[in-house]
Amino acid sequence: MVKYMKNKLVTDLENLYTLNPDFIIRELEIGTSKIYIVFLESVASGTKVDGFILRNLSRIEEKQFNEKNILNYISAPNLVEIKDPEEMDYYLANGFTLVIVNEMIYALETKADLFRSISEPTSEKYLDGPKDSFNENIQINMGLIKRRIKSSDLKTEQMIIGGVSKTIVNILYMENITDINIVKIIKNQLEKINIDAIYDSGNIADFLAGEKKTALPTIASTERPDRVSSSLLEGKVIVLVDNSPQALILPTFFVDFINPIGDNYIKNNNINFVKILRFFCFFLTVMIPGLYIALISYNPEILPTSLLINFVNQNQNVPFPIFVEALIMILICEILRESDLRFPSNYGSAISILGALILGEAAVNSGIVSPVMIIVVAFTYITSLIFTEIVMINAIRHFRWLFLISGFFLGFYGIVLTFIYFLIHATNLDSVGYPYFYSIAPFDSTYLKKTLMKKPINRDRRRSNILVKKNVTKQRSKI
Amino acid sequence: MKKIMIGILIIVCFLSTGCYDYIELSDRAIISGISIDYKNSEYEVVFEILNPNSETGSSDKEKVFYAKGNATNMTEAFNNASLNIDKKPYFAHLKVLILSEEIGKNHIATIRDYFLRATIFPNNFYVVLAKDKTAKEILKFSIESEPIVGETLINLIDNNQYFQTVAQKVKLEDFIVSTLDKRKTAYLPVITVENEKLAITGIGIFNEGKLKTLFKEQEASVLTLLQNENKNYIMTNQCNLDETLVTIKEKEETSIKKETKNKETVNKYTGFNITKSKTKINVMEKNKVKININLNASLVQNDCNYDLHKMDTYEYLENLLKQQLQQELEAFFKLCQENDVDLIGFQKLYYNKYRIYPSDWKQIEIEYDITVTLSKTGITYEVEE
Repeated sequence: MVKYMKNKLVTDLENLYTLNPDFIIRELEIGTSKIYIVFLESVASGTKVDGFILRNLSRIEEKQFNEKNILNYISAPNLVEIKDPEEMDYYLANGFTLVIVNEMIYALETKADLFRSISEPTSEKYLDGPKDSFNENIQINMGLIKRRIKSSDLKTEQMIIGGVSKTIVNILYMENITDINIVKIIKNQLEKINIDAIYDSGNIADFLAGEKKTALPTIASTERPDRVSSSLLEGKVIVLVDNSPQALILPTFFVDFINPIGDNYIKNNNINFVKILRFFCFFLTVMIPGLYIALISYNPEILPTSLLINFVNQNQNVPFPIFVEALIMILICEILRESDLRFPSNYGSAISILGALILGEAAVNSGIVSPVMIIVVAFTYITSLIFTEIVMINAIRHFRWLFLISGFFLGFYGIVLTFIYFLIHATNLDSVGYPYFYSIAPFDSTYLKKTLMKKPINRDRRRSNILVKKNVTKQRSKI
Repeated sequence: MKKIMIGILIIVCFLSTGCYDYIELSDRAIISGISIDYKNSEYEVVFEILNPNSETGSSDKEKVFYAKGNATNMTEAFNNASLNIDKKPYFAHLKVLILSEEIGKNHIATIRDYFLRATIFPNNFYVVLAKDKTAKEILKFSIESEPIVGETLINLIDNNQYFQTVAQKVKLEDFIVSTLDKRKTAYLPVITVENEKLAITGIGIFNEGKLKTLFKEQEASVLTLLQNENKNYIMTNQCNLDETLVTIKEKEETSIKKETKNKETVNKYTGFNITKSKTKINVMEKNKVKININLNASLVQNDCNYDLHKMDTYEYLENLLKQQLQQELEAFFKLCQENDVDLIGFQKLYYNKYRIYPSDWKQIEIEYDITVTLSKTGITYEVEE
């Protein structure tokens, strides 16, 4: 019996995938020809390999078989003929199965379903609005968006970033709406990235925004397909990263962070009150501790006399200066918040009880802090809970410390200075080239009435001018 | 370079703060009232200091405590008083300054000078004058229901307008400005102790920086009416004193005639509440001033049994009020002229029009133009005995 020489392509692959136990080669002999079926067990689905290829091939009668018409027998929705043997590696890693007959290589998509099902959003939960969220599969994420935008104008620029991870990054935009310059800027930035691996859209966001520049977030990430779709139709650009449930929205402005998409599903005259409250709360949560210290230490004449007497009375038992008191309380709260965030949720309640006990009762009784300080810090943290975006909360913390320190050293003068610094800093920022404080400065009523305020939906007829130059009208209904 | 610039900016921020005045809250002694007396050629200054410990539940602790300082001059007296306190005196919550009659008569110039020069005082506290008692006694008149005299006095003056506005709050600054102006007359609310409680008894009138005279409640109230500061002004009228009333009533039914002729009705009164008033004072010609008063009144007491179903009665009552008010005004101006105090500021008004001061303001003739509207709604019902 003559032993056939093994196919050279197959031996090459075997050499490449030594010490890869999931590397599987099946040999089939049909008549005189040998067919090799190669796949990686870990990323390819066994049932798909069986259904698309093995079962079909086994049914072939030897007489009918011809190496040239093999494509008649194997079928898969996504089939690629590989000309360059170098590409085999990439297709294998992506869950394709290679069918090698002599010199011919075919790759059939037999990806295993390595992702969780579509679940409810966890970080952006609203009472109203759709309840689906992105998961780690970029195709499903694309699907969730395309369910909402059924238009061929939704274009996708695909890139592959990461030398080892080879992560798919999709740039989505509406061709008939979006200013193509934004897409170009983003593409240029992404092309400059040369890194081993991208694990999450957060890595991409850091590259796009520049991590060092500011504490304020300039790129929003979301897990809500409805938010992504509405952003697309306002002329923004979306960056989707494979293996990441968070899509990036560019450009994002300050007002976008404090006004979640959930607002759009509530009556405008009801939500406008909340929106004003929220904007007000941003400044409250940033300033309160600093303001309180400035008030108490430098300008107690502002307070009503009876309140002042109360404050004096409570502060008498505390041996520390008021700044140290505030420092202790805010640090404890930060630690509590962080531990609550990191610890498994099953233990979370124990921590809250402990925290509440320590902060509420024991700290006052032992004379470490005054009750007023607890009220001040509690109020600070309650007002900060209004903001759903964790990136915004982190930025708030940054500026809160600045206000606290300047309030202690310079009183109201310091608060005003820090506020001026905040305004200069924030207005100086940009999100992919667009002013960060947009719709307030530079003023634009169209965008303002979509974010900071809400118009009735029948009057929300135009996209904002700074983002969109063409196709500005979005509604023509006559209601 | 950028870092150096930022460094310089931060340093400039710290250098441009002015005085660094950080004080811990518990190191401040909050002073709510000051009284100044002059006795045996010495100034006696008393601070009313709020006691923060009093808030901790136990009611036996005093809400306030006092610090006293005596000296022949104001500076030392204040210093001596502050030496009695273990904390830094904090005057920003100062509510009231009580001056004794003696200070008002002879030492206003000293007070004025000291408070204008000393920087520790705010400029928004009020001044009152003590009568019959010394300023210290008024300041220390702390009763359980009203422990903080500084606050009590302000509330007293604030709330004396429910039935009849007698006095207004006078800020030290305004008082000083009016005492410095020779053509203006300054006045202060007068506080005394009546029925074991603090009470307002009128206003003290100053002329050329000296306490000249005291006006009783009635005259003080007319002053607030003329200044458009009166929230409520009451007028009462004894029944059956006016002959015109009898003539109107005689035309009516006999039963009323009988009643009106009854001697007992002499002790019965009609009461009016003036709810709205607007006064305009115009200098008409060289020696004439026209006082234009528009009143909205409502009848609050009808002992005389006026027939309120008749329009004539209203006309009559309006006339009655008009005459009475004119009499009250005439009496007020007579008192002003007697005491040589130009409370309304005729001289200023005259100056504003003719750019010279009148040679003698007391010679100015006053013409009254009073309009009274009696509100008719809801008063026509009869109370049967």
